[in-house]
Amino acid sequence: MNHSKSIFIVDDDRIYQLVMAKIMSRLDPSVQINSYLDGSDALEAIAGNLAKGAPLPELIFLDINMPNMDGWDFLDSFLGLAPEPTTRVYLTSSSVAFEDKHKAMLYPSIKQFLIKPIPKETLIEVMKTIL
Amino acid sequence: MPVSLLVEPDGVIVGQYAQCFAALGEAFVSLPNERGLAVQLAACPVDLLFLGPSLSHRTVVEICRQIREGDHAAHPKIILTLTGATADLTEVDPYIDDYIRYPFAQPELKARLRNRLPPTSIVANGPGRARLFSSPALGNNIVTDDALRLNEAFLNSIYEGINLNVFIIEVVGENDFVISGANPAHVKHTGLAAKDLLDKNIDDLAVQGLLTREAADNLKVKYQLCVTSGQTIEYEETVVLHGGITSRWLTHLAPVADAQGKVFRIIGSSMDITELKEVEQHLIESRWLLRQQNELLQSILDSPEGIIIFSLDTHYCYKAFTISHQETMKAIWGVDIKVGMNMLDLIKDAEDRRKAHHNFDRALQGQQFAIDEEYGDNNLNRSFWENRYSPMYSQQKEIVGLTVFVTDILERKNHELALSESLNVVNHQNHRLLNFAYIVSHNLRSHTSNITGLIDELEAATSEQEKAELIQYLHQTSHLLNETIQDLNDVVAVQTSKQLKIEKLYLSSYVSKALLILNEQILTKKAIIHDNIPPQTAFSYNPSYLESIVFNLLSNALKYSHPDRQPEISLNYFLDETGVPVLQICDNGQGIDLEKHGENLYGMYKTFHNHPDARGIGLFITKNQVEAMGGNIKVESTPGKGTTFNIYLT
Repeated sequence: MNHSKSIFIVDDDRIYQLVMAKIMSRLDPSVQINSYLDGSDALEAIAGNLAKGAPLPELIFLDINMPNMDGWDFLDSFLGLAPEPTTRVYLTSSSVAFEDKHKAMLYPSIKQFLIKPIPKETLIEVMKTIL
Repeated sequence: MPVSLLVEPDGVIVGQYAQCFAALGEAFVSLPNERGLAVQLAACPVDLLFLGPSLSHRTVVEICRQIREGDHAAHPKIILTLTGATADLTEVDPYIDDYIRYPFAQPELKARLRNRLPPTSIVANGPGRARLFSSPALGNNIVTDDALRLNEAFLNSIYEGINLNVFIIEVVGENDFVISGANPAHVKHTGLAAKDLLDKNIDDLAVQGLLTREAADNLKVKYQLCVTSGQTIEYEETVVLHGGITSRWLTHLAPVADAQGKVFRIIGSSMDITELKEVEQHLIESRWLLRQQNELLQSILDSPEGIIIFSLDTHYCYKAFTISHQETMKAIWGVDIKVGMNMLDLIKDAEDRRKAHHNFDRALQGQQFAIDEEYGDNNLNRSFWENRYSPMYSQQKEIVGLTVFVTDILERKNHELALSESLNVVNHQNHRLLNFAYIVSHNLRSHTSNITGLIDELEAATSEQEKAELIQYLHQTSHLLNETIQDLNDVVAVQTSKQLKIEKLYLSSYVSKALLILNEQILTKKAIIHDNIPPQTAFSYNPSYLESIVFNLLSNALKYSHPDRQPEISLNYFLDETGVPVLQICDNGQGIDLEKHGENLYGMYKTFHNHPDARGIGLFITKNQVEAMGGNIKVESTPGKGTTFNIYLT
């Protein structure tokens, strides 16, 4: 492994991004955390990485409700760029809507549907998967 | 039909004649003496005149002269009845056409009837006409013995075979009667054996318990009446036989008198009229019931508030209708209907006429059905009716028309409408509540979870600088939480307001007020506002809602203006095709992808643009306010081109 693990947080809540980043950095100081307020920003970053031949992020925490490009749109575009990604995607939301859970099952990349706030134990488990 | 006339004073003899004539099916009249003979001959076509055995020689001569020499229209053949005593016939023989010996048997009488002279030959009769008596009289004597036996056999057969009770009572003394005969029918019908009855005194029957004392006394009264009057009497009686069966009888008592006129025997006959009486009673009851039903039907038909019924023939012409239908037709179409009018001609609305025509035809094809329908003048008297259509059949089972039973269900329909309206309200409320629950769960949770996260980090933080930074974030979060709670307060205020203050408001003043508040943004963005609202536009509305609605929509239009062009916003006011007042706000801004966001457009905290001020609360509150006033909001939008909001005010 010649590069540090990369994690994306895509969420329009700045405070949440910050708290998440702090917790994960403490759990594994070696990970590189990138936060984006909107799906389109994250997509741009990924496209840039792919162009440079850089690897895809190992983990993406993806919020569903975002004003411009929401979680689903991001996911569709992302899969357009990288049809069979190694990335593990975790959907995050404050509310549980049944139709969302249903939809999540259609995407093999989506590993889990996490309800905010994400308990620390869950986060540790998720982090372990990329060690 | 020619008639035979008998002149004879003895009732018993007349009876015997009558019986024979009846058995032969011949018409027969009788007179007790020569008085009234002329009248009788003039009254009916008498072709045979029988002179009875009890008439004196003098009377016979008198009658013969009267007939043959008098001026009568009819000239009957005269037949003289002879008894056993020989009489001098030389004086009367020239007048007599034939003789018969008394007592005679039926065939002898029949022979006389068969020998009726043709009417023309009678004219020639006169005193000079000779006729011999001897030989026919002798011959008759021989025939008579045979005939008597025949006659007896005949009567016997009737007595035995007839399904009519015949009984014979011997009059022994005053109020003393003995039964001397009862035919098989009598035995069958009464259940009393002949041996129990014959030779029994009526009182004996009571003693033996075959009759009650009362019944026996009643019988005696009747028999005695027959005896003392010497007349035939007829009466109805109720008989309670053993076994308690009650039956009703029509009884006929005929007295038989001797030469002195003393009644010594009664021939009785009884007919069971129980069934007849029952039928009669049933008929009376049916008639009464029918009359009652008729009266009831008539009262329904005549009642002004009653059910509406009408019937039509196969050409849709009125056969009958109730007063209520007449009044309804007058009220709805302004016509005075009459029997024979074609109903389809009277329905003035083309669509109603088509509907009625269709339904009438269905009924005329034999269908029976009920439908709720709306009929009537478009503006005034439109009302809901439940119409029950039935075909009408003739006795030959052919459809000859139709009947319609109409019930006014306007009230029921109004209830249904009110119910569906309340259901709508409840559904709306429910939807809002769900939305509200979603908001509480989503928004408050995201803030609280952030606070928890920040505090955890604060505890774990090592440097003072990091702690200060986290406290700064904590402040921000608590501020956001406050704001969210304030928003929820606003929402609750709209959701729970029951009685809204309604005033007459001038729309223009509210537009001016909103533009004044937004003035700075308008200037900054160099926006052009086209205010096309007629100056005097006014309607009843809640003032704070109207202020909030106008401000929110204008502020949105400015906020989401297109970055590449000068913002243009127009305000319009008009009535839609159904007369509902509409406030319209159009912009040339960024637009919204309705296909993607349509269902979430008015959801709380739904934002669709990357605008820093977008909080996703304005449209949610606007929609709630519009709906609380009984109106609704509609949007048309093209991304990149602009958005138009139509606020239907009522």
